[in-house]
Amino acid sequence: MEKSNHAHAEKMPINPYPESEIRAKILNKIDPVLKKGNSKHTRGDIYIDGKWVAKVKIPNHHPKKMMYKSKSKFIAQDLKLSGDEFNDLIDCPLKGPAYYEILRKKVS
Amino acid sequence: MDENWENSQASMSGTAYADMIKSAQNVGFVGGLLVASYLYSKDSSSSDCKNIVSDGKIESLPSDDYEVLSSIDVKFQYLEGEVLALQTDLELYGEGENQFEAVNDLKLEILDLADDLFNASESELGKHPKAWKKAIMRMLKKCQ
Repeated sequence: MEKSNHAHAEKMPINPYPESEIRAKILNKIDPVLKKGNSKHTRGDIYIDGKWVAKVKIPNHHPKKMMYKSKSKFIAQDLKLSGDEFNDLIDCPLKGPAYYEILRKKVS
Repeated sequence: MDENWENSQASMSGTAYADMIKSAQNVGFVGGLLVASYLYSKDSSSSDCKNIVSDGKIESLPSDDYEVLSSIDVKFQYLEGEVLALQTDLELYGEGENQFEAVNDLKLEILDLADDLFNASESELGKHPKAWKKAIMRMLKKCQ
């Protein structure tokens, strides 16, 4: 399942986005539990039914800085999303509840 | 471990990775890390990648709370103006302007994750966090 999703992600590359936009969409749509530890970045932990199922490194708020595609790819993978699903999350068609439906299927 | 995450780390798995190992260009120590650098020409997935990767190993962490049981594998990926330090088993990456900064960031990420995983009970963890915990317990021992 994950391999086929990855193959699909290869066909649908992740679009370029500003770091601040990725950050905002993760925070607003997914609403992860934020953990600020020793690292300079905040980590977002994602829970389903009380279980910790995923983590994502929250990008810093750099309005003008574009996220490297390879870093966006890591974020997509942390969120358990294919390339097109990640694009949908940032571009808006994929809302929070739909994201959690996708995640539930991929982590169960 | 997330197979998807690992398999897509700059396409560094399988035959391409083996080819890369064979074509090592340089081996040395940088900032206390054993590092082998490679020219990597088969990564077509990341247009912002300069097609160079390195392998390294973390031997220590900046904390008295954990002892490193076995050296922690790190892969470095070089972007334009930025370096990523990747630990695939834990699905973590550190970042910085150079290799030294990137690995230091990764070390802190590892410590943050270790704190949470060592304190969590199995019943609180989904399948991916369980895999991270299994991996981190091979790497680190929590000092009493």
